[in-house]
Amino acid sequence: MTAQTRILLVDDSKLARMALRAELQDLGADADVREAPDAESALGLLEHETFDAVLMDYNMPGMDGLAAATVIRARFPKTGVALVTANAQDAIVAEARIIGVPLIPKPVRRRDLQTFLSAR
Amino acid sequence: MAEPCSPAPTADALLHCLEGLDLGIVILDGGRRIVHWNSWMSRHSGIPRRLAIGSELCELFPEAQGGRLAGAVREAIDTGLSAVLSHHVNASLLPLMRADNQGEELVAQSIIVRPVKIGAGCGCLIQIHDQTYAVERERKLRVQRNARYHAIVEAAQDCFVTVDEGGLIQGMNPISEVRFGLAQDAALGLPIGTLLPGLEDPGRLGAPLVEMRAVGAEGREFDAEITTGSWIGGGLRYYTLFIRDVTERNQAVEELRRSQRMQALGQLTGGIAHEFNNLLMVMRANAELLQDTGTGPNADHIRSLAAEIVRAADRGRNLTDGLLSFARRQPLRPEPVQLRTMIAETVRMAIPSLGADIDVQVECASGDPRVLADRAQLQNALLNLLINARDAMPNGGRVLVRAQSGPEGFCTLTVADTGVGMTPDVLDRACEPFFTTKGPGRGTGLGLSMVNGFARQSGGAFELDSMPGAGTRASLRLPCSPVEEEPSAAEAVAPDPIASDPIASNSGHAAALLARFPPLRILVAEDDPQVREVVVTMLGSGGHRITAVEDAMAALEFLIDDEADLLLADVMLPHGMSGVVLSREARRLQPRLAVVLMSGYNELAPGQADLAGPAEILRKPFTRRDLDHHMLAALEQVGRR
Amino acid sequence: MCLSEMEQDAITELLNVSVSRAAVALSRMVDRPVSMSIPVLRILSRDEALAALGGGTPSPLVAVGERFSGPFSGSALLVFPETRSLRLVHAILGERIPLEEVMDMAEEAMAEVGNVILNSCLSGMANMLACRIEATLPTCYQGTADQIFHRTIRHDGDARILFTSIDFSIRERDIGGYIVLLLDLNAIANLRQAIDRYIASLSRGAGG
Repeated sequence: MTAQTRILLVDDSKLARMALRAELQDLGADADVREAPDAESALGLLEHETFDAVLMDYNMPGMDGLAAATVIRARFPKTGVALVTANAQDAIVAEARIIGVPLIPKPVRRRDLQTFLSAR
Repeated sequence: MAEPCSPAPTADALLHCLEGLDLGIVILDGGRRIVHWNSWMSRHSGIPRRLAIGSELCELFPEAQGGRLAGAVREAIDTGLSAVLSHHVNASLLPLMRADNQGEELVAQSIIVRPVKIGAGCGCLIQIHDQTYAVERERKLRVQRNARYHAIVEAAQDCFVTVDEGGLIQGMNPISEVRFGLAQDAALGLPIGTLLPGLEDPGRLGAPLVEMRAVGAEGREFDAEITTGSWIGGGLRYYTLFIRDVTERNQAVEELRRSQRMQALGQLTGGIAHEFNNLLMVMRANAELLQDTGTGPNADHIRSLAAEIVRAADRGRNLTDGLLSFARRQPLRPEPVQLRTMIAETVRMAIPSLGADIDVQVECASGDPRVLADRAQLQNALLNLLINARDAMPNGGRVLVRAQSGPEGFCTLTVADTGVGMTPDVLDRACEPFFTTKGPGRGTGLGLSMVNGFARQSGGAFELDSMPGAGTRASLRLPCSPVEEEPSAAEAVAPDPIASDPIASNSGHAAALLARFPPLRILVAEDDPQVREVVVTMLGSGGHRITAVEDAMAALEFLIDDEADLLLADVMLPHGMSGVVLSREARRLQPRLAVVLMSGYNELAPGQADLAGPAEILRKPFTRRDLDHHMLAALEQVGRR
Repeated sequence: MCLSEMEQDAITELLNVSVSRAAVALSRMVDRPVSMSIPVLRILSRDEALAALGGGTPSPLVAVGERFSGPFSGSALLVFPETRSLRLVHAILGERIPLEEVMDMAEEAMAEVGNVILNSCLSGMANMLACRIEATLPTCYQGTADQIFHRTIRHDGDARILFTSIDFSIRERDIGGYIVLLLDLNAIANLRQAIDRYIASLSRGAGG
């Protein structure tokens, strides 16, 4: 992992963002971690700043994670996106696969996070 | 007192009890390894205990990998949750075979998974219940319960459609699929308003019996009678609609109502016509007598006044003829009629009265359609329709007269105008006698009723189509005439006795006829005193010996004691014995009696004619000349001349 | 009862994860995608919860209940209006099965569906809070909200109810219901402790 990886956490729950941040810290990543409470503000941030990776909740008020991930894949192809969700229904997994977004199950396991980030 | 309790069973004894259970018991430790496997499990799985112990469930049953059971086991061990798994919800659980080993029958099972303490750790207990018998029992009960229901519903010719509270279709029987042109699968979930627009609002569901229009296959509408049954299943209210197509029934009822009304009117008008004929008889005969007897300075004037009365009486008779033909009392003489010729003749006759503003076009189908009908009545009917068309077009217009073959076995004569048309109300009553929209003095209200009566009596039908402003189309359907019958041109115009000039029966002619009569002994039987009087007067000048009585009994009493040469009797006599029966009884007494029957109609019904024996029918009202003619013919019939 | 904003957020996220798992379990059962709304958490008294369920009308409800025990103990109820429960069962058994047969199996199937959903929720919570929550087998109840509460929830003026509306939709059919977690004061205190512990475990590195 390169120094100062920039990571954006998108989740309506502060607790979930905290959990992710804690896991990232435990990974020992030297990362600049930013947060957004919904998909719309995440897209706003992406307009102004460059991120290496976005960890996106699936179930959010307003635009859902899958739709936001699709937009990011199209507009910011260099940014890696993963969906973080407990809602790993076959249909959702399949949809995520079509747009090329990996799925990380909630509650987040360090191993899954590591796999995603090392692929960046 | 109570016997002392046995000591608590040992662990071995308990284990032995577990073995005896009629259900599968599997116990897993915290590492999901099998620590107990009872003999029920060995029996049904074919896996002996020594193989099972120490294995994981998914090693023994690879198909359970990742399934509900595996998940339940994980949750029981990891979290402490309990779970139920039933064969209803889970297509397959464990591949266990029936113990009686009849073929490859799988055990229908329900499984309970719950956490248990195993030593210091947490394991799980799996109980497997054999539900095969229960499933079979349920199935049988359901089949029994449903058999009768389905036998009725599947075979029914009425539609059964079940909807939920919101009016969404939940099911329908096979005939519904046909009637509504909708497969059950496609219908499920559709609002019932699609089929029955009157039920678009589900609030209207549940009315016990209603009639409304239904939209059937290919959008064809029909009258539906709907009986609704309401029931509750699973806490939801459902309505089963029994939908019967009553279009034909409604049509039949409407037809019956109409024909009953017509029949009642027919009886009424028939009676009126009969009474009227008697009055006309009196007027006409007396006027005629007045013509004959007039002498003195004013004789010519009186004669011409009397002639007016005779003319008026004849017009009256035309009217009663109309009434009688509506009442279907007028016997018809059907003959093959070439429509082309008949139309041409009639139109030629009608053109002067139609006026220059009316353009008449005739279209006659090739193949020369011909019908079997009474020619004179048919001409009358067409004339009537033409006159009606004229009256519907006060500012002129076009009349199309069309003769066509068909429908099968029939020809159709259509008269269509471009006139004002009729409202549905008027259309509905247009064929009733006395119903007219024409001003006073312009119509009798009998025209269409006569046409209608004529059509029906001829074995055909009469139909009117009209809309206000869109003209009227009158269709007269008559049975086709078999082609081989060639109507002779000579028969084309039937002589109408009324059309002949009544004044022609002048005294000179009558006297000439009378001269051929010897004085006769005549018995007159007529209940109407005025008619009786006038008949006696008519006969008076012939030098006959006349006895007049008012009913059949009196006539017979006379004939027992006295001889008569000729009986002149009204067909309709009171007190239960008609002129027809009288003539038969009279002939028993005096076989060579000549008989003339006076009638409001042209002929007797066939049965009556047989009963009466040889008899002349004299149509009321009649002239003295008619009377003489018929008396002469009657005498010839019995060989008295 | 007052929950801090953080606690409220934590419980909502717990439920979110739990309901998501329930959706996954449901979608496996029906072999179809199940869409779900984001759960909305309310903390109500017994009477308030009754009002929320009954909506003022004594319409029939179906409920599946489990009692659970662990760091915090209480009852979990999954409640559906009767009409929707039948839709759910119909969706799960497959719509090819005639309605009358669905009705025969409705109670059994409903108990199992409720079991799956409630267990997903309970295991989701146990998982996140890294604790053990034991639960009984499910029981199916039918009746008005009043009758169901009477049979499942002891009248305890202090009890608080975590009341969550959930909306599932299967094959275009909306199956809205409620997850009701009844906790007594003691249980709530324990739940808070568990949550606070969890939050603390996440914050351990945040400060440093």
